[in-house]
Amino acid sequence: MRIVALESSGDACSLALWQDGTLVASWLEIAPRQHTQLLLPQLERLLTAAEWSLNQCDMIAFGAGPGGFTGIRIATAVAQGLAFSCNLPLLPVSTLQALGLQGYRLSGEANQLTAFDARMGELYWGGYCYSPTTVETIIEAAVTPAAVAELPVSGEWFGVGSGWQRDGVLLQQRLAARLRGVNASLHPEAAAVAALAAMRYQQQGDAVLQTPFTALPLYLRNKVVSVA
Amino acid sequence: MIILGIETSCDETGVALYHLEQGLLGHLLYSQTATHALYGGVVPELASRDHIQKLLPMVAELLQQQQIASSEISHVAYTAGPGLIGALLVGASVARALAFGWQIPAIAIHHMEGHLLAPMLERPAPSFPFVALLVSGGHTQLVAVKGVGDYQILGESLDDAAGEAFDKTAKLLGLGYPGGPALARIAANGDSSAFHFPRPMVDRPGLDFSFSGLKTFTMTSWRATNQDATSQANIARAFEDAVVDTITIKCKRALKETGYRQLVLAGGVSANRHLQQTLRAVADQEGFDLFYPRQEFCTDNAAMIAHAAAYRLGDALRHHCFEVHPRWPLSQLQPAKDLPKHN
Repeated sequence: MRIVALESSGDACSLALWQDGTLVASWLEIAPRQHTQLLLPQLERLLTAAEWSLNQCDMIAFGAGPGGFTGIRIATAVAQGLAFSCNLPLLPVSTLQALGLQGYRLSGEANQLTAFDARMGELYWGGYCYSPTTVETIIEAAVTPAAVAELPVSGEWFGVGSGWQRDGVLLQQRLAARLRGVNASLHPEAAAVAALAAMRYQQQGDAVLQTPFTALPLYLRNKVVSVA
Repeated sequence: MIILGIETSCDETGVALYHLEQGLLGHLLYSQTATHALYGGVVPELASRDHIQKLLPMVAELLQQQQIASSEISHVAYTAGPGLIGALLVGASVARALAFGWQIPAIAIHHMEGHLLAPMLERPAPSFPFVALLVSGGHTQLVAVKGVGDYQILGESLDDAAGEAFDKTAKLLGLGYPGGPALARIAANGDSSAFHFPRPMVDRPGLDFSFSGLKTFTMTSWRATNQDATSQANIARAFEDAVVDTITIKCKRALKETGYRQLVLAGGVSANRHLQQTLRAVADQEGFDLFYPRQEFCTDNAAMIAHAAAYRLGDALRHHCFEVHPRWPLSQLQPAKDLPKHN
């Protein structure tokens, strides 16, 4: 099974080609506000180098959010357009869950608490438990201040993501001895988006697939304006 | 050759199919007005969120409605600016990804060029050169148009655009948002002799406009009344008369300065009946030709984007790097690279 994955929820922008459990090719660049200039040219380069054509792929996976609204919309809109043009299904992946997978792979810790800085004093926050072939959601993704972010009831946890940079001290206090370590410098990557897409498809089959009409960004923050 | 056009620069999602020989095949438009009315103006984040939900289903619906297979599409054209950055990015990203997947060229279109050429969707169509009056919520400009992309700005608003002035004045009169069209409706019942508003900048040479002073005049006049329906209609009428008169005087001046004999109206405010009727009368009297598109092509739409792209085939892009331009002066456009035969 061939998966094309894209991720552009933050300052980084990345792509991955994935086939039957193997990362065939990937690209990542830290390029704030340059996602539209890079995504498609880099995709063309990767596809050509791998001698893949988009038509022969089985699905498009993308980091649907949470993250910067503009970034997740670019990933979603590009994924929608690619999927529609080549008649492919889409698999939206949580950027928090993808980041947790990266944390799991680097640290070997199964339990990952993921946090991005959501600004306005809040975090995008989620908790996941990984095995080499599965992922389980323990804390549902939410936008929340660190002081009241839902904590897992038991177990030892590893912290990952930019949110730990800003609110690390407070979160560390709250978790105390249950925090096994932190990696605050990881960005979500398309390679992890592809791996998660494959994992979720393996676990749940066609039920996880969406059409270009139904695949939408995952904003979490829905109050973006107040009534005049 | 069939061009798919996409428009998402503000609060309307538009898609269109334009056939190079047969002309416009069809278009769809979804207006978000109801979404934004609650907030008294367009909320950019909500606009972007809405576009990404509506755009691709509308593309599919239009292809289905027109019985066009995606393999028949030769180009994807989209509005690259000016407009709201988030809204533009949705249309641009979908458009460029479609072009990538279909392996066809994309064409980035300037929204105001779309408006400016829209009267050429109609028959009889104006021919170059002409004077264009672009009047919308974001623009008020007089342009000497010598050809596609050969634009000389003769004058423009120094403050509020005409459409913006309509909406702000409507708000002062308690007509809600977007109040411009409502203001025009009640103005029709107003007595034009009840109030007299100044005609800004007509006593000065040149072709620039200024409409922001009319708001203050409206407020002062409105406060001096008992604020009943009659005063509301009378003030609306006085305001509209002032805008229409000012625009008319400047249009006459622009025609005289350029020596051109054709005036083209475009943009949302060009749908204003009083403006159309007044300029029609002046055109008959002074012997110039007046053109404006039908109502649905005055406001934002994708038909004008696909249509403008038909004149910009020489500028089609085969690379996949793209950007949008929230601020993009019309005068920065270059003449179209070639002008294919066109019906």
